[in-house]
Amino acid sequence: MTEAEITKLVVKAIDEVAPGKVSGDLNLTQRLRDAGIDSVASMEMVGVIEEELEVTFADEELARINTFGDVIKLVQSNT
Amino acid sequence: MSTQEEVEVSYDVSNEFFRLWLDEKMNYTCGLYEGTDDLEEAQMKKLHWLSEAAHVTPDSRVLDIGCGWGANLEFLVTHKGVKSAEGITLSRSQHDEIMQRGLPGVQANVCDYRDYEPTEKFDAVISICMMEHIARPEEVRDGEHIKAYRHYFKKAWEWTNPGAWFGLQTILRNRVPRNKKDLHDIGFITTDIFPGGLSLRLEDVIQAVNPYWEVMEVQTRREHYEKTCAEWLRRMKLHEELIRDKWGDKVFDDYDRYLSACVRGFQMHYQSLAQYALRRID
Repeated sequence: MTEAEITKLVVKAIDEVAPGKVSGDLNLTQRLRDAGIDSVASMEMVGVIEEELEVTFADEELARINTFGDVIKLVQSNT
Repeated sequence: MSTQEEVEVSYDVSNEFFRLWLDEKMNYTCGLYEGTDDLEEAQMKKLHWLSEAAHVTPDSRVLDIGCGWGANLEFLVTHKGVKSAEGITLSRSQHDEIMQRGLPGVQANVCDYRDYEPTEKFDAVISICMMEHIARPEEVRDGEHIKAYRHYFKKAWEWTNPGAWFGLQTILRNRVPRNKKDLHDIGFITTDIFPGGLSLRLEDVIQAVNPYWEVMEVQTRREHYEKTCAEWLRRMKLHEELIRDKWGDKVFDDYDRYLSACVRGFQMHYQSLAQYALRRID
């Protein structure tokens, strides 16, 4: 997947679990919690991405997610 | 480490309350459903497995760290012929229950394991689902948990004689849920039912035993804990009216939610259960 495709997927996942929190352009250095995405929404977002890609991420990788850039990297390293 | 107040939230609702839905000896941990569908028998099999893992003989002096209401201490003296067994717990209600059982050769102490100082060393250690109280959720988040777990294994090493074995059982934290309801239910268990504690990851235990204990065997029992919780829930629901009447709606509703979430948690691989045979590194 290209970075643009991954970004689109992440935005879609966030829209599904926390509508209105992000626009089409992600600020890769912004922390999820600063964008109003709490830990519960963050895990729900991960669930949506996993379902879409038919993958399961390891918990220790999820523990390293702080920023939107981390989410993109997580998807890149698992697809 | 969970404080005494937090431990008492978990275990001191009332001995009578727990007696309504646990097995007759009051084991509040996973049973071993091998060749049986009966909770009482599964709990005996669990205790048998752990005493074998700890190489207990009638002459062993045995320590039970986090001894609950004394089911394992009772098993040791009545089924294994142990003449000297000692337990430690932070719960005063659990200690009272043990004292009431009047078990010969059994001593029980209300204390934090970090302050415990045995008068004599032990030949075997058993600890059943106590490690979940060692590291607080915030300590795990801050990466301080391995140090705390290792300190526990160090203490157990210091309290034992060369050649000792350790039968250990822990709940495992396997996978974080991905949906809101399950996340909230697991959060509820952590904050409202077992405040101050958190289940472990298998790799935490493997890392923390060094340099004190050698892992000789590990068995995971996820389905066994699902079955144990389902049976607890079934039994508790049989007493719904009495529980609501005597301890209030909140107690029944909270325990209904907690046990239901546990059944689902084991089904969904959020949690599992592990038993270990550890040998002292002399």
